[in-house]
Amino acid sequence: MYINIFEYICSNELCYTFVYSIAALVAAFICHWSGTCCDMKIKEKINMNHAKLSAGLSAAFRICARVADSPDKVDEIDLSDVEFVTPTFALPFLVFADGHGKDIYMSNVSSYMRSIHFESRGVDSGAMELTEFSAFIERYSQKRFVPIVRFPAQKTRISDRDCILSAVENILVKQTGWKSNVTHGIKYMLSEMADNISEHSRSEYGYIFAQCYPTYGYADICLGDAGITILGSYQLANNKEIKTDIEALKAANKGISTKNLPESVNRGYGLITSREMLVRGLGGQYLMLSGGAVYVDTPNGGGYIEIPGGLRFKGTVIALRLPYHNDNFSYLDYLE
Amino acid sequence: MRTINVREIAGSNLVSRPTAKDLLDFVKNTGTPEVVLDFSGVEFASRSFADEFYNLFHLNTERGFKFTMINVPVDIDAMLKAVASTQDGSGKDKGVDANIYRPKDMNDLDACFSTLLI
Repeated sequence: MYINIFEYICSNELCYTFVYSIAALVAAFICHWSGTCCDMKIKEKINMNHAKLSAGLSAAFRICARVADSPDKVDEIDLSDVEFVTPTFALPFLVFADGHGKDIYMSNVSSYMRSIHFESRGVDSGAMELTEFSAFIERYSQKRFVPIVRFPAQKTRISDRDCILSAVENILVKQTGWKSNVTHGIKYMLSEMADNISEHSRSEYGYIFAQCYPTYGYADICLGDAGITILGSYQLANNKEIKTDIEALKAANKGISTKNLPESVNRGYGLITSREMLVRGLGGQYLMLSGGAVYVDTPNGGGYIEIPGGLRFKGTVIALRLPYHNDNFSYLDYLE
Repeated sequence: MRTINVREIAGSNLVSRPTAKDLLDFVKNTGTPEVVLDFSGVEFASRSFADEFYNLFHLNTERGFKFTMINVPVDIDAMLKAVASTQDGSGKDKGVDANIYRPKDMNDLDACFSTLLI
């Protein structure tokens, strides 16, 4: 019988915390005595007010910009002043860390950040048996968040991916009490986004992380991948007209498929209909980061933003702010 | 003619393109030129599944394969009709005329987000 000892140990929350604390101490010790790393210690005062969907993203940009500017091979992010992180902080940061090629070491991580598995860069659901993952995620049904879950995105593991995301959706329904009309819309959006990761990103895995705010009546869900970005996907399809990240975001939100095939004319609707469903149907907010650009859409309007300073993410992250209730919503009204 | 229970073959949540291909492969492997697809118990179909299903099954209809669908839930029927009506690529172009912002630094970026009320 094959047993992954590390995953087995980490299945226990206390052991998990202990193992990562020891790992952090060992890393710090090695860094100190080797004298080769951790030259740059980054401590950013960040505003993680969840009232604005962009607050976490902005904080992630500031830290990532400092890492990108640092000449050192290893950077330490000191999170001693940070108790709480939003999905729009965590996933962009992890996507950046995955794609930057540097060793990024996080210190003074809060218990909340450990409980969402931020320090360990997500729960590796693909390494677990599906029954094991279901039992693991079920433990979160009474909590207000779904931890960062890394799910397989390869086309050979679509069935595993669907089972993992279905388990996550079920937990979210338990946490939020979404009615079936809203649940069906969310299923539609998440399935389209997960499919886009598998079809276009060339990433071996995707991330999902959710945080619920019952007092305020909304939940934030983020999906991301450390893949080739939307621009990279168009370039791979030999599309020479799309040259920048903003042009790529525009094209994707216009429904131009990256599948450069005659039969692909009906592709590209998933993103448009999901966004319309969320913003116009549910009154939610939509944010999409890919490469060096961001697209946002809200009931009050939207826009494309170029990230300043040449900062670029090797991947794509989509954030959804989902209101808990909307009795008049039917996802069928937004299928086109 | 053979009746195939879609839920037994592909599950109650049909969420990905490969699922449609798997369903077609199963149907083909039965060796029956005409089948009835029974959708009872199927709860959800994603747009990606519906699009792949539409294209694969209709493509094979042109090659002499016949199929009919029974007990199709209202939601799934609406999804299949939606993908059928957009095979020409119509209905896209939403949200493309939004403004482009090029903030000069991170503080300016925060101002952009505030302007966009997000």
